[in-house]
Amino acid sequence: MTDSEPFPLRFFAALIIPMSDTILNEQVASHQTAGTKHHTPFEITKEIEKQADQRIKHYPQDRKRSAVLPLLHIVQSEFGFISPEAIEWVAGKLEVEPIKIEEVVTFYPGLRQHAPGKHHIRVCRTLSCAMGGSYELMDKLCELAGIDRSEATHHNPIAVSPCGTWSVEFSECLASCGTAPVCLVNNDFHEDLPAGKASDLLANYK
Amino acid sequence: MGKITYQKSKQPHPREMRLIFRNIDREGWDPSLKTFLADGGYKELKKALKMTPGEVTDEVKKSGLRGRGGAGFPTGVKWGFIPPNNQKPVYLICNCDESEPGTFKDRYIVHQDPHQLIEGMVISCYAVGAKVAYIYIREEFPQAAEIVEQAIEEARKGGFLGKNIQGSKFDCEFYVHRGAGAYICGEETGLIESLEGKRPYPRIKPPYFPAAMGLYMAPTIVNNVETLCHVKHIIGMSGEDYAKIGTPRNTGTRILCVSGDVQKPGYYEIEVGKMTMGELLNDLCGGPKEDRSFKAVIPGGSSAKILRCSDKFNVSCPPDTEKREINFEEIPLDFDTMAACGSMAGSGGVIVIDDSRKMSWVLNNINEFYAHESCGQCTPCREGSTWMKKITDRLVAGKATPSDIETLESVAYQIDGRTICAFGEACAWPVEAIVDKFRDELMAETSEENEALPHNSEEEAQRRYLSSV
Ligand SMILES: Cc1cc2nc3c(=O)[nH]c(=O)nc-3n(C[C@H](O)[C@H](O)[C@H](O)COP(=O)(O)O)c2cc1C
Ligand code: SF4
Ligand code: FES
Repeated sequence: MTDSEPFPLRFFAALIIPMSDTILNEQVASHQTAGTKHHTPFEITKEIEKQADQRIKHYPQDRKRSAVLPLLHIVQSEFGFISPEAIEWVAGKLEVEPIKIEEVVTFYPGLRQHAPGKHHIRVCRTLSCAMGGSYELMDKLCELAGIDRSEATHHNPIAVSPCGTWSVEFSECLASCGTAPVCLVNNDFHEDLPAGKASDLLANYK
Repeated sequence: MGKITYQKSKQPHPREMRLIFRNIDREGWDPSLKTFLADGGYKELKKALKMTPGEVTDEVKKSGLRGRGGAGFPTGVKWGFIPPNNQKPVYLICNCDESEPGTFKDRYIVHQDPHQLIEGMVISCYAVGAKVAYIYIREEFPQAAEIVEQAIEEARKGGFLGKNIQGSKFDCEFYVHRGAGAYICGEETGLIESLEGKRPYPRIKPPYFPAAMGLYMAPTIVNNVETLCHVKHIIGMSGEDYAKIGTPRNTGTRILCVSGDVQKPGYYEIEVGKMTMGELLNDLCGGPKEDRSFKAVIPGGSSAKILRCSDKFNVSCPPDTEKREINFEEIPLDFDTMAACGSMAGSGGVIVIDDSRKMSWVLNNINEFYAHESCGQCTPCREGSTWMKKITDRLVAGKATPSDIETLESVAYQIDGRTICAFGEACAWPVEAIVDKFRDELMAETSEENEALPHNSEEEAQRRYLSSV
C-alpha cells in the first residue's frame, strides 16, 4: 500500500487484514492435534517421488496441473494430512503457484489440513442413514472413544480423541443407503452398523 | 484393507431382469479378467471393432438408451454433438462420482464387475473417437479405485486396452482419477474442472457444453457408469432388440436403489416402465415395516421432488395416450411418467419415508446436505441453501414462526432457475415439494409466539449489533 491511497481504503485494510489472518489461522491452516504423534512428519522419499511422477504421466504434458488431486492423495495417505510443506512440494512438482494448490485443498471435504487420529472414522449422516440410526451410531462411537464433538465446526469437522487413537467426522451420503447406517474406517467400508455394533467395530482396530 | 462385501444370499426377484447386475453378488464371481473371460466377456468389444465407429453410434441411437446419471438424456444423441470438423483430441469421462443421496448402484459395478464397465467404455471410446478416457471415482470408494486400476492393468495385458486393441489399429488408454469428497464433482462441468486440477466450479452452459468444449477445451463425452455398461449389451443384442426391452422412449433395464423405511431395501434391476411403484415397494421390497404405512417417496435421488403416497395423478401411462387418474401405487417406473407426475426418475435412488417420520426432520436433513455441498459460485445457491437450512434448523428446534415457512418457500423459488448449474434446482426442489405437499404438517410445528427474537445467543448478538448501528 502506498501513501497516495485515499484514507478510507487504508483504514479498512488495516481492519480487515489482521482479522482475515486470524480467521485463516484458526479455521483452515494446519495445527497440531492429539493425532499428530501417530503420523510421520512430511518428508519426500524416492518412492513417493516415483509414485508422483507416475501419476503426472496420466495427463497431457502441458496439463500437469491435472495431477493435483492424485498428488495430494499420495501425501494424505502417507502422512495423514496435508501440511504447508506438502502444498509447497506439490506446487513445485506441478510448476504452479502454491495458492493454486491451497485453493484446492481448502475446497474439498476429503482433504485434511490437520492430523486425524490413528484411525479415522467417517459416519454417513445423510437421509437414509439418519433414518437407519447414524446419529445414534456417532454418539455411541464418541462415547466409546472418549471424543467430545461439541468443538467440531464446518471448517474443522474432525474431532480427535485425547489419546489420538480415534477421530470422527460426519460425511455426506457414502452411496450405500440400502445397507444403512454405514461408515468408513480409514479405507475400510462397513455397512449395516446400528449403534449396538459400535464396540465390535472399534475392537477391529487397535 | 477390508474385503468387499458380497450379499451372497441376495437372489434376484423373479420380476427383476438382470442385465447390468447379472454378476453382482453372484456365487463364484470375482472381479478378475479370468472370470470375466470365462463368462464370455469382451465378445461385444470384438464385435464392435469389426463395425465402423458410426455404426456403433447408430446402434446406440437405435437402442433409445437414455443416460442413467440423472437427466435421462439420450446417449446416442449426446455422442452426436461432437463437432464434425473437430481437430482436437476427444475425451471420454466415466462419471463414477455417485454422490446423489439415495443412489448406490455404480458402487456395485466398480467393486464387483469392473471389466463390464471397461468393455462398455472401450466400445464407447471407439464410437466417439476417444483415445484417452478417465474414470472419475469418488474419494469415498478407495477400494474401487484399486480394483478398477488392477482391472485396467489386466485388460491392457490381455490386449483389450492400449495399443492396437485386438489387432484393430485402435489405440485407447484409461486412467483412474480420484475425487476428494465433493458432491458437485458429479455435475459434468464441475467434474471437468476438478480433473483439470482446479476447484470444481461448474461452467456456464452455453457455451461450455462438454461435447464441444470440455476437458482442456476439447470435445468430451461424460457418461454415468451404468450408461456405459449398457453400451456393451446394446452391441451384443443390437440396438433394435435392446429397444424392445422396456417401453417405447423408455427402453432397456435400469437399476433402482431402494432405501429407507421398507422391509427389504437394496438394488433391483427392472425393465423400465414395466413395473409400478406399488409393485416395487410391496412385492419386491416386502412392503412397509411392521405396523407402519408409507407416507412419502422420493423417487429419483434426494434432488427429485417428493411424492405423497395419498396423492392422485392425472397422467397418461404408456402405451396408452389417454390421460387418466391413477393413484401413487399405479405410477409406472419410467422417465416420462415420473416427470408427468411432477417429479423425476433421476438417478434411480428411491427413498421411502413412513408415517413414523416428521417431514420437518426429513427436510432439515436434506437441507443440511445441500448447504454443505453448494460450491459457492452463485449467490442464490450459496446463500439460499444455507438460509433454508437455518430455517429448518429453527423448525425442528420448535422455534419457527408461521412466516418462516413462507420465507422458506420464497427462498427456494428464488434459487430455482437462477444459477449456473442444476444444483440450484436440486436444492430448491425438495423444499418446494415438501412445503407444497406437507404445508399443514410444517405449519403445525410453528408458533406465532416465536415471533419475538432472540431464539439463541447468535441472534441475541445480532440484535444487539443491529440496534447499536
Ligand atoms: C449437482 C449435480 C450432481 C450430479 N451428480 C452426478 C453423479 O454423482 N453421478 C452421475 O453419474 N451424474 C451426476 N450428475 C449428472 C451429470 O451432470 C451428467 O449429466 C451425467 O454424468 C451424464 O451421464 P449420463 O448421460 O450417462 O446420464 C449430476 C448433476 C448435477 C447437476
Ligand atoms: S448452482 Fe450452486 S453448485 Fe451450481 S455453480 Fe452455482 S453455487 Fe455452485
Ligand atoms: S445416506 Fe448414507 S450411504 Fe447414502
